[in-house]
Amino acid sequence: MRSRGLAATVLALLLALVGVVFAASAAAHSGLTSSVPAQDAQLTSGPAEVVLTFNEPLQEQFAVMTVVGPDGNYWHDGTAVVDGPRVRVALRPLGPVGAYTVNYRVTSADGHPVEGQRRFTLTVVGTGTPGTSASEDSGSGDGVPVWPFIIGAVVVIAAGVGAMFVLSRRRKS
Amino acid sequence: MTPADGRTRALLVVACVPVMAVGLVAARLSGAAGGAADTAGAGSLPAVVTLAAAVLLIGLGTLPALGAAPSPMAVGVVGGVWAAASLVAAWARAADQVGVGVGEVALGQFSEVMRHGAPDLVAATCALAVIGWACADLITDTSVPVQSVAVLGGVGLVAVAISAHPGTHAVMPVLVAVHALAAAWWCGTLAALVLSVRGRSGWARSLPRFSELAPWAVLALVPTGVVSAIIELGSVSSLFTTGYGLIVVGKSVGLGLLVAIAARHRRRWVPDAARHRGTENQAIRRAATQLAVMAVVLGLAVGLSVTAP
Repeated sequence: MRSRGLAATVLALLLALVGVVFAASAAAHSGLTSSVPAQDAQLTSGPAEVVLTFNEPLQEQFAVMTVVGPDGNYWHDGTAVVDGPRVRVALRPLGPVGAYTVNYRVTSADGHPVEGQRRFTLTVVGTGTPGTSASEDSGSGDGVPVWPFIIGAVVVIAAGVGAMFVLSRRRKS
Repeated sequence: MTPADGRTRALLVVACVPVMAVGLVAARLSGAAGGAADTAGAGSLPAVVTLAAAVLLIGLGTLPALGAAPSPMAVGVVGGVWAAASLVAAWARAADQVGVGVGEVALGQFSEVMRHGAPDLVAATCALAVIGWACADLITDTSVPVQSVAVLGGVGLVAVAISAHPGTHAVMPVLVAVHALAAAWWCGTLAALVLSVRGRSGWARSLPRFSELAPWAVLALVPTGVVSAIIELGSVSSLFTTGYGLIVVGKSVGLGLLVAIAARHRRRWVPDAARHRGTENQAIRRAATQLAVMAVVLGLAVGLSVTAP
């Protein structure tokens, strides 16, 4: 029977392919494997930088890392730098005791953004001064927005297809 | 009952897009249920439209092999929808990668994202070429074979399909490309038949040929899909414990249902059509049942492509 033969072929191919590929490792999404300072670390003095290590190299653009202190101010210094599977940001000398939150957003090798948080606690008051307040987020408003170009292109495409419709009608009649 | 007119057929095919969105929502819910880090959101809606358009173009472009001919106007309109949706998809992807709302993406940020890979712009370029084909066919006297539309559809489809997770693996791009093309031909051709075939004699000519070729498409898409899932998941238990796995289960159930419907159609509809039995509306109704299930599975596929394994 034809369909039975087909089913048998599918099964045989399937088994062969499964056998060949089973050894291949999973190409998973980027995930955070470790951080310095470690999650929920209790520190007596602030480190010079925060380093997050992922399971695979990251894309270098659009990595964002911020450190927000218990006072609601930013305590990182400068922008995040991607270095292979690691992303790092320099830290100011820390100030008030309490929980500091590290927010990260990076682009994994497959193009998907990965974001999350890490936290560490400062137990001894430092002498540092904070950066800007995290609530008054400055940034993003740089440059010409792209949406007018996209909308414009869509309108041009619609007009082109419309013109094609009209012209072909005229040609027919 | 009067035979379904062109508008009804077109509406039927267009209605597949909201049904695909249902599949996308199902993928989002399964992803969230399995605790996936990255699930399909509203940003994937343009991707649903681009997939629908590319799939339909592959179907329309390969119709001559089944003894049918697509309307050049339909090809042009679908090409236009594909081009527009691809641009919007590129825009949504840029917003997602930069981490801002769609209204806030700056031109510089957009081009930065596109410099690191722009499958959606490849698709948009293919779509513009499809519009060019339709214009040449309708307005001038040049006649380029319609199969070139299928090739353009295939190039755009594969560019988008292999760009995300599969791109980071050695064999995955090949598996995913074969899987996507086979599935697109199967679904796209059925939709193209609904759109283009006229009368009992039309179905009598094209349906038996489609039914002969369709098992080969299934033969190509099943093993490639299974192996891709094994590579991404790594273990049987993650089929039920991860969001990615749950969507794979959903796709498999949908495929099982589709094969059952197709087998039933092979036994009843195909012999009927070959003997010029059954009305045209009956044929369209049967095709619509199968298309609805196909649309849900394609929606799940879009959801799967943006879900983190």
